[in-house]
Formats: sequence, C-alpha cells, structure tokens
Amino acid sequence: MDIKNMTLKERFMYKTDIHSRRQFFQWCGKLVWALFRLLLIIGMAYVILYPVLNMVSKAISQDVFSAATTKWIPRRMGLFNINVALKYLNYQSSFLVTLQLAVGSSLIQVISCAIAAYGFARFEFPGKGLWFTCVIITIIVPVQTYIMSQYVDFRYFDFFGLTKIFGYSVNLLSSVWTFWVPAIFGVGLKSGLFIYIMRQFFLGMPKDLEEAATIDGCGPIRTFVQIMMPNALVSCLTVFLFSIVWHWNDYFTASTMFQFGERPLAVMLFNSTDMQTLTSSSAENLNFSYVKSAAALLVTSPLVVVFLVAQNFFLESIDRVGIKG
Amino acid sequence: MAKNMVKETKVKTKKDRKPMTLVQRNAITGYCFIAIWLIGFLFIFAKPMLTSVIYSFSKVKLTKYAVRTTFLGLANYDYIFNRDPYYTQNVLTSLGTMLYEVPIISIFSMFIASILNQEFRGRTFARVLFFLPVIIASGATIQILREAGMSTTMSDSTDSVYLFQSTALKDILMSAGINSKIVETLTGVIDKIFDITWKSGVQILLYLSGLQTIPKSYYEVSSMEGATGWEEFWKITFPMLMPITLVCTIYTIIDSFTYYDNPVMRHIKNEFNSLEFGHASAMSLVFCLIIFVIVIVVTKTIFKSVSDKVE
Repeated sequence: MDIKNMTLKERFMYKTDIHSRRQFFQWCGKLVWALFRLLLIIGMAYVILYPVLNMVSKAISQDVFSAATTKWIPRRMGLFNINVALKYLNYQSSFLVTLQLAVGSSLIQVISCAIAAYGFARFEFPGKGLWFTCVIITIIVPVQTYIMSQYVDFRYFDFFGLTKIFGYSVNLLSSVWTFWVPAIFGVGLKSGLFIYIMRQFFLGMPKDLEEAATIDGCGPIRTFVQIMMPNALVSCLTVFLFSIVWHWNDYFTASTMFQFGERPLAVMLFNSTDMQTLTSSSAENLNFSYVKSAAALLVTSPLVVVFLVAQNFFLESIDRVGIKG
Repeated sequence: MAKNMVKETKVKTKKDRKPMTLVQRNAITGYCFIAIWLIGFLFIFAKPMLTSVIYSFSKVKLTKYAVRTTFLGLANYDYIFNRDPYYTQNVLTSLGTMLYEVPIISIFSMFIASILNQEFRGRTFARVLFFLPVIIASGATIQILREAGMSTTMSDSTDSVYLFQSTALKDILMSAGINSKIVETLTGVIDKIFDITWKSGVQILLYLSGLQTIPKSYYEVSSMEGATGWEEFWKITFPMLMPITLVCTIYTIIDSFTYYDNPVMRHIKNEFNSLEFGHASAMSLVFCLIIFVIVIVVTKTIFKSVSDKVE
C-alpha cells in the first residue's frame, strides 16, 4: 500500500507506532481529567468562598439600601456594623472566656488523652478490651443524652462524693470549669476521638525506643514523659489545634453550661433574638443581617487567623496523622 | 525483659514477698495510665448516663440544694410517643434526612479527597479552601453564612435562597418525561450542595489522611502492569479506604443526628430549657438508642468485612 493513497487517518495510524498512539490517548485523558478537576475546584471554591466573602463585604458595609451595582464592594465602608456587633457580643469578656475555655481545655485534653492513649496502646491488662469499647462508646453517644444529668452534677458539684461528707457542693455552672473538669478526666468534648487518634499514633511507634529506655533503667512514667511525648509532639499539636477549633465552635454544651454571666462567643452569636432588639432599638437605621454578618466575622476571624498562621502545619498534619480504621 | 528480671530479684531481696510477674506489673502500670480516664468515664460519663435513665422514668425538680426525683414509671415515654405532637414526626424527619445525606456526604468527600490527593498546580490553595469549613464549622456561623450569603434580597427575611437554583434543570427534566419524584430528589440534592459541602469538611480530612496510608508501591506495581487510573481507583484506592469509609459513615451519621439544626435536638433543647428534664431525658435516650441501632446495623451489614477485620 502506497503512502500517497492513504487517507489522513490511515497515515496517522501508519506513521505512529502503537506505543506513541497510546501515549497520545493517555495524554488526552489526562487533559480532560485536569480540566474537569479545575472546573470542580472552581465550583467548590465558589460554594465555599462566596458566603465567606459576602459575610466580609456585608460586615464592612454601611449602605442602608442595597443597590444592584454595589453587591461586593459597598459604597460606604465603615466599622459601624462591627462596632454594634462588638457591643452586642460583649466581645472583650466573651473573647476572654472563649479563649480560656478553648485553649485551657485543649491543653488539658492533649495531656489527659495522651496518657490514657499510651495506657491503651502499650500495656496489656485485664478488661482492656472492655474499657476501650467504652472509649468508642463515648465517641458514639451524643452529648445531648447525658448533658442534663451532667448539668445537674455541675450545679451541685461534689468532687465525686468527697465533699458530700461535709455536706456542701460547689456550683460550677457558667464557669470554664464545666469544660475543664471533663477535659482533665479525658471525657471532654470529643476526647474519645482524640484518645483513639493518639493510641493509633503510639501503636505505630517502634517499640525499640522504649525497650532501650527500660534496659537503661527508665520507669514507665519517665519513658512516657521523656521518650514518647517528645516524639508524639506533632501528633499532640494536631490534636491540640483540632481541639481548639471544636471548643471554639461548640455551641450545644456551652449554651447549656453557660446560661448566665459571661458566655462564650458561639453562644452569644447564636442568641440572635436579643440582637434583633438591640439593632431595632438603636436610633440608626441599620441592617440586621449586616450586623449579624459582622458578628459572625468577629467570632470566626480569630480561628481563621490561627489557621492561616499554622496553615502549613494543619495541612501537613493530614499527611502525618494517618488514621487507620 | 532483662531489666524486669533484675527488678524482680530486687523485690525479692528487699521484701520477703512473692514477686510480681511481668504480666502483673504491666497490668498495674496500664491501669495507672488509664486511671484518670477511668475515673472520668465512670463519674462524668457513666454516672450522668445512668442518671439520665433514672430521670427518664421520673419527675425531676430542681430545688436550691439538690435535685428531687419522683418515680413515674413509663409516663415520660408515654408522653413523648403518644401525647407530644412533634417528637415522632421529628424523629422520622431526621431519619429521612440522614438516609440520603450520609451516603452523599461519604461519596462526595471521598471523591474530593482523592482529587486533593493528586499532584497539580494550586493544590495547596485547594487544600486550604477545603479546610475552611472545618475551621468555620460552627452551627451559628453557618446559619448566618447561609442566610447572609444566599439571600439576594437585603431584607431580614430568614428564608434562604439557595446558591444554586435548579428550577431550569427541573423544567428540562420534567419535560423530558422523567418521573417527578425522581426529579424532585435530584434537584433537592443540587439545592443542598451548600450544606453538603460545608458539612463534609472533617470527612474530607479523614479520607485525605486515609489516602496517605495506602502504600505508594501498590500504585507503582499497578501502573507497571498497565492499569488505568480508573482501575487503580476501584481496585486499590476504594478497597483500601473501606476502614476510613466506615469511620466516615459513622461520623456522618452521628453528626447528622447531633447537628444543631436537627429537629429532634432542637426539640430536646426546648424541653430542657423549660426544665422538663424527664421528657428531655426520655427523648434523648430513645434517640440515642435509635442512633446506636443504626450504627450497629451499618457496621454489621454494609461494612461487614471491614468491621470483622478491625475486631
């Protein structure tokens, strides 16, 4: 068959051998996939960023009436909404409460969960399976089931029956201790999950280190503090950051435990009915949804700042933790 | 081992007592490590749990110094099932929502995670982006974001206009002669894309970390053998991710039930706020039992092979 009589397609088939043709198709497939991926990520970026940017735009807007042309960049910008939101949220004191609650509980939780996790990961003792099942149960049972009795327990807190002998109890409600006490004992917000993650980490560590330490005359507690914890630092930091995020955002437990006095930001944000009266009572004709956006911005921005600062760490933590089912 | 033997002999010389074996010593140290957790579990978790059960059978009154309970029998349960007009209905609604949300979120997050795990330009940006829902994932903020971001009108109306309105698609599908119920569910899902994206932050993370644990050598071998990406996904990635899928599914089930927006949870909160502790306890216990049954059924049926392996 002469090459001059061939059609274009036949020429292409003739000239390129099977291998390179296959490569061409593979390249095409990759291109299509890359395009699809790009589109998908753009779409998702839209879904995620649109409300966030809209919130920022509304928070700094001072337009009373919206105009179609000024959807994103408000005509008059100012901190007015933010000021109202600051006043409403009682920001300074609420922020301090939230900070104590989130950072304090997270620090305590990391330590208590690491200790329990190490016990579960490295020692054999009777009833271990049963107790670990209990850890799993604490993950599965929603806090709503037992929060009422916990509420009552904290209302009349008697240190596990110790002060009952003397006949008095302490009211822990509306204080950060309602979060710190469970955190100390490793049954705080999502503690079960953290024990699980830390245990997974300890299981993955080589045993040689500890054996070497034991041979050199190191007791189990010292081995844990001086050998295991420094190695687990990355894992601990991951748990710590997630714990902060979850404590910061927690609404249900916080709103139950803090009903009077200074309340955490998430609770203040949620009780928007008061905000409505506040905005309508103030003389200026300001937009309720704008103030709400400003408040949401104020509540979330500290976390977002932390995230952006520790961003590299957060992202790497995904690769490092490596949770196995 | 050697060290422990030395210690044993030491104990022998110090005190004339029967020395502990290594197993015993290990057991005691182990219990020491979990002791704090154990106290917490018994007093801060198990005790309130038991008290909840007691409350659900009694009338609870808060006095200044203590709690008074009077035994009522099954009256609270009778109330929530027979006299409360909303409880059963709310439970059914949230079960229905769970039924379609859980599989969609699981599949969606697996898909997104396997995309984010690939090498491409702008991968860091995409990963930061998908982290945002985890950071902002607070009920209150999401509610405000949804209201503020979605409503096109600047009025204070709370009825949210969704980001994607699928009325056009609905019309096309309807005129194509597809059953209206199928169309409704399909477009309903599209309307909910906002909620699904924002709810699947943690699940995407779980999948991403799960993807990291799959050995790279598996992919090397399969690509040498000439497997396509599609085959690699179904033959390697998907089965290797099954344990994570189990964790994700259970997380999503629990999350969908305890989400701030869940009608049952709101109902319980209302009862709680009006100090009807008995009703609230009964409601949450029944609901918890339902969750438990669902979790166990899911683990034992859909993920049978995985759960057997884990155990």
